[in-house]
Amino acid sequence: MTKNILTITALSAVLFFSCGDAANQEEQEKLVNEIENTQAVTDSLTNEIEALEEETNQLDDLVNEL
Amino acid sequence: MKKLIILACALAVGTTGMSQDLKSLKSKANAEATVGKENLQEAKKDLKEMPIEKTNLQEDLNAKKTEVKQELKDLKDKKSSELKGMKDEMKAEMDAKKEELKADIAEDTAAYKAELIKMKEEKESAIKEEKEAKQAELKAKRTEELEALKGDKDKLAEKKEEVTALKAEKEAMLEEKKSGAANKIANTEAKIAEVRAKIEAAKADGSWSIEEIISKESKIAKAEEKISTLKEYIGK
Repeated sequence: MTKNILTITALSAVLFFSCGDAANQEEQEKLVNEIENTQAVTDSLTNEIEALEEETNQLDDLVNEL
Repeated sequence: MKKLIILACALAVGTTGMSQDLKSLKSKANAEATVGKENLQEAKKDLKEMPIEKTNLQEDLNAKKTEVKQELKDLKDKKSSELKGMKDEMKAEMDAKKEELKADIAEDTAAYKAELIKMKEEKESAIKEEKEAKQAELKAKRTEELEALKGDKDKLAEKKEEVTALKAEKEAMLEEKKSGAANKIANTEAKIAEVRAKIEAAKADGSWSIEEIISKESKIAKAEEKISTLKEYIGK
């Protein structure tokens, strides 16, 4: 009887901790994805800024030539 | 009677003993209460100090964050100044080549123009390649950094906060650039109107040659094309 109770307790503990681990891992994966997505958006914004700067500089050159 | 006296004495002795016991218990309780009070005061003091410690830690963290931000900014400035230097270098190189070409071939020939277009394309392609290489390098570095952070939820959360702040910074910068570009468009449009008026006047009084007028009109067309491209960027 005692053996059974101990086995059930041990199994419950393993299950509990493994569930916690899985949830933690899932949360971390979510964070990693969010970071990657934000970085991708930031890259796109940087490209847009650079393109805008380039076009504006070219416009400056054209105005100087006028 | 004798028995009664003995009983009374015994009662008196017992009562005195009991009252002494009570007194000693009371003084013991008082002493314990004093100690308890002191402990409570100490605990209260500790509790008061805890937010101060927390504030100090937060200040340290903020200082560290500012330091890292400054380092990143310096790095970015260095990178953009490097890129600017590279562009200036290429421009100087192109100008030198133009001079060489002018000496070799006459300026207005088709060969000269074709050579210029070729040079421009080469320059653009070199800049593009350099940019792509730098982006790939940055991406690899980022992936490596993120891999190192995997497993540490706190550091990942901190990283997320950092990249979100950077994104907000870029969004603000883009808005600023758009506003700057809109101003430049307005100024250019005013300048174009001014040059157009001058062209019309020159057509009437003959102060400019036909070649000059054609050249100005061609430049106006190029500027208008650029304005249209910029407006597309701003409208995004």
